[in-house]
Amino acid sequence: MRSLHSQIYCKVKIFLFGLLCVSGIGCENEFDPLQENDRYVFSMYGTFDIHADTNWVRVMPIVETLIPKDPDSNGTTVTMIHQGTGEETQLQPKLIRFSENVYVWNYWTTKELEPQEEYMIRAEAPGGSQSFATITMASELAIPDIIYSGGNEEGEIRGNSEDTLVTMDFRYLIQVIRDRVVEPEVEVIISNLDDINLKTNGDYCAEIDNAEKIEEILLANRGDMIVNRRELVVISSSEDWPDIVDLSEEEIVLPDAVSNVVNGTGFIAGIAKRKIVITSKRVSAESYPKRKCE
Amino acid sequence: MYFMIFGVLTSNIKAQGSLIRGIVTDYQTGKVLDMANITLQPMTGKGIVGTTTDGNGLYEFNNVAAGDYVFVVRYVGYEMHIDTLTIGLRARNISNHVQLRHSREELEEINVQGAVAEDMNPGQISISPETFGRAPTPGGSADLASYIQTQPGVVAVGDRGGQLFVRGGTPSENMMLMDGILIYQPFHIIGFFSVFPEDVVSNVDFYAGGFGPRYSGRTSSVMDVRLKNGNLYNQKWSASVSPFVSDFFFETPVREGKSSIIGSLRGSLIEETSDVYLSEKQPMKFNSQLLKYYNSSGEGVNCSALIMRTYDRGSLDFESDDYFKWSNVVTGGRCAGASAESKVSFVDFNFGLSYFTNEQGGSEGGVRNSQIFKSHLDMNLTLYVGEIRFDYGFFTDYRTMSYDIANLFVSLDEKAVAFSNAGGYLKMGVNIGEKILIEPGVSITSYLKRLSPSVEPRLQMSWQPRGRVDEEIHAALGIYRQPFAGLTDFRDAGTSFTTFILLPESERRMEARHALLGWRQPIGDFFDFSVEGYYKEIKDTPVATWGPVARFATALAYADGTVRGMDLRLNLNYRRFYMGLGYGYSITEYTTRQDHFGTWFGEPVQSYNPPHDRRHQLNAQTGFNVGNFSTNVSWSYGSGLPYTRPLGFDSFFSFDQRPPDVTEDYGEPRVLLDKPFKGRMPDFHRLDISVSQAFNAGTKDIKVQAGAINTYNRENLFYYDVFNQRGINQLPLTPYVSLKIESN
Repeated sequence: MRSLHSQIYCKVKIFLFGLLCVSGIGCENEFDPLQENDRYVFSMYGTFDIHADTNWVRVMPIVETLIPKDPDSNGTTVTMIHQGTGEETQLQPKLIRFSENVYVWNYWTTKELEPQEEYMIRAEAPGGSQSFATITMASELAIPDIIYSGGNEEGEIRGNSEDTLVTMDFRYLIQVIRDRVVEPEVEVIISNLDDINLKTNGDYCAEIDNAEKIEEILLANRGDMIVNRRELVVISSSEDWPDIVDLSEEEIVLPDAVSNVVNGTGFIAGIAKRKIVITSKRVSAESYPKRKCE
Repeated sequence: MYFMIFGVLTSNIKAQGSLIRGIVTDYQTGKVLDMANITLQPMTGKGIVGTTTDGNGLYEFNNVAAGDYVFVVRYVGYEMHIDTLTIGLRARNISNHVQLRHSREELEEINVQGAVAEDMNPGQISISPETFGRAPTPGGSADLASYIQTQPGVVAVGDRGGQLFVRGGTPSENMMLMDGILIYQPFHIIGFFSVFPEDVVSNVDFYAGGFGPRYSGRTSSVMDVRLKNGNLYNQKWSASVSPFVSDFFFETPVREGKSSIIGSLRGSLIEETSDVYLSEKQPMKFNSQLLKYYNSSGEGVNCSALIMRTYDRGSLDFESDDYFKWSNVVTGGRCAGASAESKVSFVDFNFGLSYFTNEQGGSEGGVRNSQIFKSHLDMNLTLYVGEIRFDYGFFTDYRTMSYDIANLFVSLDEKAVAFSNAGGYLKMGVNIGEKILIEPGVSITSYLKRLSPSVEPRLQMSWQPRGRVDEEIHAALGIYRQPFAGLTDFRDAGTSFTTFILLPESERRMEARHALLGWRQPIGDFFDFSVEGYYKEIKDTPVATWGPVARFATALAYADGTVRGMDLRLNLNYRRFYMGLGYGYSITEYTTRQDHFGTWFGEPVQSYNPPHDRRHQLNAQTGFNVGNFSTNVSWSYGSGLPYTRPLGFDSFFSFDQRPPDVTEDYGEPRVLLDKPFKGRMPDFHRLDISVSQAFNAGTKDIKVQAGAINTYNRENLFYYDVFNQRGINQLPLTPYVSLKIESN
């Protein structure tokens, strides 16, 4: 930052030189487009799943370019601390390359997590500056009962969760037949979160009727589709899960609106995730016997 | 049109004495001469009376007693007109239109003393094409676009894009008139050029604020350009070429002494020449064509018709695939006249059609386009009742607007809209004594149920303490409303795409309240000084919502605000030398409520200086003419424009309905922004120089000009692209040579 005197001097010089038509002399173009950042150290995004073998978290220093192209991690260490026992686990770094010269750093651990326990995830730069998030692990999530009819892509999911269900996705791998040509496989994800009927004791039931939704997405009739794979993903999370229902589109992307990272940006959540492939045992060509969630 | 004009002008009036009324025009072209001095002196030598012509060239003497008079008309640069008038005992009305011939001898005098002293309204600057050249233009003809940017209070954010901000207003709040016909975008994509080269312009009245009720429908400024009439007696032509542009102009009588046409063709060359001549290709192109027909009835009624087409296409960031295109098609006509047989002193009737289309496209975001069409019909009249002058008129407009903006502004649902309006205005000129003039007025517009009617009172006052027109203290107040908005996403400084809309919320209307106070004062024989302070309150200006992610869609928000500042001018005209200094100080502040600001900054209402808030602006011009040699030097300085400073960057993941998969997804790049527009770009300054030498080659005059834009090669930032972190600079040192040949 230049002093007031030097700025005034500079402007007077500009004026005089300009007025006198002296060529070739002007103030140096000392333009620094970035504002000094003393608020955010790291960006941290990810989830810790108590049922997963390996958990991943994205930890990147707040950078000075929109697309970071420097593969150097700058010596960042990421540590998971079990708050109850004080046990520290250092996460392993892995450089991920998304395209040529576009790199990010993910950190992973295979450490077994304790349900409902509190953990701190801390990222620290060699200079000591750090960002951290404190999260509560989710409770275990039972695998739900599924009745599903492949013909109409409808069915019923029943289960129980101590925590809030945050995801209920059906993921389909589908090939569409258009003009007698079978197109490449595409993934279609449909959220049935809004179809869940929840009871106070944690029991839940969801009626699934996804045929029309798939047709809308793929702009094709159900009869012109080959469904190669169906997968149900159910995720529950502790109370840490961000509540974004009331946030506008503009608010969601704000750095401080959805964040539990101190001295940084991002969000880390504890989850319990179940992924169930809908096999032929669960798929019936006939309509499933509708029992209606009550 | 003739019938309408004569219809109004043939209603007889009775007066106690005789009335003498007429219009003073240039003999060669029919151009009206403003501020011509007229005296009526009785042969007895006593009781001399005098007046000056107004902006329409109109003069009037009322209640003239019977007798013999010497009638004299003087105007700098013209031969004096002397006539004798005999007024009989029976009162009658006399039309006495005067055509003045150029004086070779006095033309020299113009160069010495500069322009004629003008009786101007508050906020008004009168610009003659002879002064355009004081701002060096890299073309064969000087241009209004270059000159207007040197005026305090006028901000151009860069040397391309054709966007001008006047005293804090946005470009779509400026009204640009060409012989009374609206043109939406007269400025070309290369910022030095407009559709108004010096060859086609007769005079420009530029109102930076506080304008009277004759102009309605805009909230910031008015630029009223009168085009030249073709020569009624002689053919003339000129052609010029420079690395930037080529021009061809001609004027010719159709019926000698009665009618004429002018034509102007312009086309840019810089796209082709920059490849071999500059370090970087300048992918910008424009052309324009103008044809104007003028007819003088010889009875004090003159009519004209014109047609113009313009085309611009190019890129503002030469490394990007984004392009902008726009086009104007303008046509219309005007009849104006005065007759002593009528109660009404002067009638001006205008009809016009104006169509504007603009488009933005590129590799991302799809193609967006927006169109606006306006047809208008207006009649303006002047009437004297005793010593009180009434200016009043009626107007009706029909507009259509349509757009396809690929959801740039997500809250806009209506893709096409048409609406009409009709209204009238009245302005009274009341002299209090010899030195004070008070001009109250009002403009009333009905939008035929589409919008609520608008009543816009205006007031202008002036005091000439010593009765001199060039020595004046003036003030103006007024309310100004605009029925439609021109939306430009100024989050993206490198844009010139404008979407024309009616504001989606019918209860909202862009509004500005102007207050200004000024002082004009000659200092000695050669200096002119003026200062004008202004304060504006603005309401319901549409702005894009601000967000940290580069998205092509944005919601619409509204800003209220204030603009305050002052414009200061000091001009010296001494013999063959001139010097001008202009300084503008301005603070533009917007206050906008955007709900996400509450989450972002803890307070949903934020105040900021918008990206055109130039705090200090200084322009210095000097030059001289010696024989056929002339030189012009112009230096411009502007303090840095606001932009939003990023703190840094990260990748954003949404937790909407499912957790992110950081092993598979990169995330959405995000800029961690500070509060909007808290940073300032570097100051701008640039020195432009031109020298020219004219030669006579028989029946042709040849003018060779050499010059340079940005003579000391300053790296002036045009804008900073936050998302791509690139500074886009304005033109570097750009030398040029131009050649102009004209018939003499």
